[in-house]
Amino acid sequence: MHDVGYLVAGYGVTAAALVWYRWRLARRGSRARHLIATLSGRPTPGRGNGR
Amino acid sequence: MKVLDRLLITVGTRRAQRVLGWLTLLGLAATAVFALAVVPADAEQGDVQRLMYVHVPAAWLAFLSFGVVFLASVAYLRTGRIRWDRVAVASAEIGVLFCVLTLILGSLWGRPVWGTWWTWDPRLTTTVVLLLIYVGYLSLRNVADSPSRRAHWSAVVGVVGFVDVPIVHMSVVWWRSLHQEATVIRPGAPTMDPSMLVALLLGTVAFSVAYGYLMAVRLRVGRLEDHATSTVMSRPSPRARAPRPAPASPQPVGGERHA
Repeated sequence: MHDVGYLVAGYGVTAAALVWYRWRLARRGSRARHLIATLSGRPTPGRGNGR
Repeated sequence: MKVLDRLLITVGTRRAQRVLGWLTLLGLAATAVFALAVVPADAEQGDVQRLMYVHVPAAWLAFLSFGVVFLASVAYLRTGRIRWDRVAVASAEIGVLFCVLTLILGSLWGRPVWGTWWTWDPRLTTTVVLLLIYVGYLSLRNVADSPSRRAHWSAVVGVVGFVDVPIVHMSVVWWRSLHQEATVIRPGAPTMDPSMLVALLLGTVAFSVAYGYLMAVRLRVGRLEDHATSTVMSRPSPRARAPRPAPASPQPVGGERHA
């Protein structure tokens, strides 16, 4: 039973770390897009128009 | 170089990223199911040994990430193209994530098996040194005052820092270690049950796809952030935009002077 706790913690930490990093990248991307749009005076682009 | 350029362009498209994202989810879910429900538990360690299917792939991916940092840094130093600096920093960031995961998962595995969360074992110590090198690499980028100097300094650290990767791998051979020796990448056949080996390889493939996906997204974010920075830098400062004061009218000779 004790082992299950370590397993849940391990697999949980792995999933949480990957999701957290992906979320952080999404936030950084949207912040950069907003900054570019604000400074260039254009409307804020939607997702995927940043390229 | 041309092949790599083409690869970077291909994974940069939104469609490719969406496909990679779904493949990542699918691969990680399959690894979890296979590792937790299909493969039998280890005869000696019991269920806790199932942590191997995420701990080992995380370690391999940390090595791969730092290998990409090394190659991209060499490419930057040779060509001076900023694209390679972007690849290097993206890979370093993801490598740090995998390296932290490796240490946490190893600690969770070590507590029930070794009876301790942490010990200054050669493998563990060299891995911490590896993590510190690449945390230093990322910190260094905030110190440099120009993009070209930042890229140059980072590339030098990216090349020199990679020296620790083979040291981490060989640490269990060179020094007496509590950590087990290599069971897959070693001379001779892997010393592992075939079903366990399949689960481990599945985990490695899933983590590699996750790495490719995160790299593609991180490269896109890096381009956006560079664009945002150059937009900010190209704006005239408020002082430059302020109206210039009118030129002072010539003082009349012998006129009254105001303080």
